Amino acid sequence: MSFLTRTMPDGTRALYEWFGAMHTRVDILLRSSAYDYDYLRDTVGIMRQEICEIEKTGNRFDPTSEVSRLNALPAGVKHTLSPRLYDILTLCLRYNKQTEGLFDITVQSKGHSPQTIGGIHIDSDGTYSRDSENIVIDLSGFLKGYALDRVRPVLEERGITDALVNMGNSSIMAMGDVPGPVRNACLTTSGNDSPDRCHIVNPLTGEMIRGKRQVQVVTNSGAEGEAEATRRFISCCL
Amino acid sequence: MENATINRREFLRGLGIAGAGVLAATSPWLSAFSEVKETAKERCRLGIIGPGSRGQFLMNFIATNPKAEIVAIADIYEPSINAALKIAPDAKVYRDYRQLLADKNVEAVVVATPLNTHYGIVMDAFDAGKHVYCEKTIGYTMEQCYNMYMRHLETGLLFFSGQQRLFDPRYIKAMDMVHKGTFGKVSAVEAYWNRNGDWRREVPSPDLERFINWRLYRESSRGLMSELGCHQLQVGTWALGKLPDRVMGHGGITFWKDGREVHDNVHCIYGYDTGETITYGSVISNKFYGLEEKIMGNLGTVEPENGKYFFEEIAPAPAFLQMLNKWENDLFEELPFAGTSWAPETANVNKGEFLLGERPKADGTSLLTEAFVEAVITGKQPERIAEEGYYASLLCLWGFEAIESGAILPFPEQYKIDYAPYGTKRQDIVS
Ligand SMILES: NC(=O)c1ccc[n+]([C@@H]2O[C@H](COP(=O)([O-])OP(=O)(O)OC[C@H]3O[C@@H](n4cnc5c(N)ncnc54)[C@H](O)[C@@H]3O)[C@@H](O)[C@H]2O)c1
Repeated sequence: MSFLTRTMPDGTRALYEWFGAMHTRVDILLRSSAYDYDYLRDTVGIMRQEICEIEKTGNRFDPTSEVSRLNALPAGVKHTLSPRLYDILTLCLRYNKQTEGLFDITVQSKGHSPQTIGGIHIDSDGTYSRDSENIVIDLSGFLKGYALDRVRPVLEERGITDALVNMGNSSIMAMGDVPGPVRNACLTTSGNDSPDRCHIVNPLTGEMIRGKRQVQVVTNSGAEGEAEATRRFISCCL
Repeated sequence: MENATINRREFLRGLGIAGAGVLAATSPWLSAFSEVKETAKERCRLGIIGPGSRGQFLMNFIATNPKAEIVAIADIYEPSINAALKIAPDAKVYRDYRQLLADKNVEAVVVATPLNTHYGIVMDAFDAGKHVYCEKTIGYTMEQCYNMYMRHLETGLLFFSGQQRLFDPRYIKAMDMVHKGTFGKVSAVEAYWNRNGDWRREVPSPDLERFINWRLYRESSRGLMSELGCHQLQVGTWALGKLPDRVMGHGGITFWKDGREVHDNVHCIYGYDTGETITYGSVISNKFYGLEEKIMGNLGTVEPENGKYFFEEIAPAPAFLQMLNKWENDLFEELPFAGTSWAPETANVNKGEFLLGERPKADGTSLLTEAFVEAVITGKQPERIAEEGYYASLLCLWGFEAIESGAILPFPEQYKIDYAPYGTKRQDIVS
């Protein structure tokens, strides 16, 4: 993992470490006057592991991921979810309701309609099943924000109060005293950065949203930021 | 004078450090500047022996240093004396360096004569009780270097050599990063210095050929190894933090067949029992790749000469780099990172990052002379500076012997000195 350090005249240490994950780059800046670089680097190591495990669970392009198993599951067959994926899916279903269907992790399904997501069942015993084999769960618009929420407790447990975590520019978390676009919050950007890029589908109409346009939201939770940014991007384009 | 202090302050600020003490582990000789304030009103009196091209270059720095006075020069060549007097008009002129050494007014000497004359002059200087700055390579043989170093220890007199990279901000910064593990495990250092030219000086009359072009003749020079290799081999051991165990080499005169006696292309491989290598090559009939010391770790590469470093995988994000570099002054321009997602396909080619914000205008020579002046005033030999000079000289002469003999030569144990290796991975050298 690549890193750079800088010690300020007052003895404060800044560690900047970055790596590739979730098909993007992750940039982490920690600032501390209490801990040495070894400790700060170990902290980033734990954060990275958490991020990689989230990716390992939720990347549908990785045939060995748990979400790939769900996408290959015969209709009606039950799968006992890992606690991590259980957490992710229940959150996503909740955000689907909260956004009135605009945030939809099944939008990549064959023959998708606003009702498709209703074909997903998560039981209170933690099992998953689906009504149709056409259902495809795609978490790529969610995992980065979710990862921010999962690395925050790592920082808190290790006593780091000043941190900036950037997941590929679109999901950024700033804690404490760090320069950044927000303070003690998450900034999530959703949209197309060029006129020819379009990757967000309106789940209500099935249409790709075109045009260079983006929205930014500031939230406490990164996961919520993903859902809310998606909702606003789609609704402002309606 | 205000100027010199500003330089030093800017130099340290450029490194992004609070003071010289911060880099003590990676560049301990910077302790030379630790008492700068207390010495503000003092001056040292220097004599220059052999004010030829390098000697005059050094004199130009010393002459502007308010803490130094060039009180004497000694040379055997009138044009050199005349040129030197233009820089230091009040200096007393000697035609025999021994007279300069006998001059009680001289506290310390700078020796910038041809390689083969260093030994006699430096040993005499120590005998005369003078502190010594000797240009690299310090001796013509390994034994001479050893005796010079030992004489320095016995007399307790200062001993500096002309390894200006020790004071070059790019190198200091690069080594700090290397020793912190920024580039991972360093397996190899590839050093080279290529030029395309005959390496000759103009000679006013043929009988002066060997005197002026002393670099080209075996009696006075070890060729490219002693004249160029010395600098770069020191960079290799500085980065790896330890001395090699064996060397092999090859050289020849392949292009400049003009009567010279030293090789116009040389290559050496220095090997470690632990597997690392330092390679050194110098060719003077092709300049395309110029000079560099590529320090190669599994996470990245540093090219201190070029002033850049490169990471193997993903380059650092410009906004985060800006944060690190400008934090001190809270000068954040628009931090350009919030936006739609970064994807590996859109990453640019690896252009590398600058070690220091801007490309420094000068190498470390000015600071090296300043450090010597400070040391003469305080009487304190900065840590490791003599040792670095000694081993830089030893390594190039050892490589020269490998080229001469064609054999794989083990490290010459008889010339080992007490020298604690750098930690190759220092974590937090600041605290
Ligand atoms: N650190 C560096 O980057 C660097 C750069 C260039 C040269 N050097 C070193 O500096 C030294 C001199 O190189 P240069 O290029 O200036 O050579 P040069 O030939 O230009 O100068 C040598 C001077 O020494 C004088 N000299 C010769 N024998 C003498 C004696 N017995 N007593 C007094 N004076 C005598 C000569 O007349 C001449 O003025 C060499 O050791 C060289 O390796 C170091």
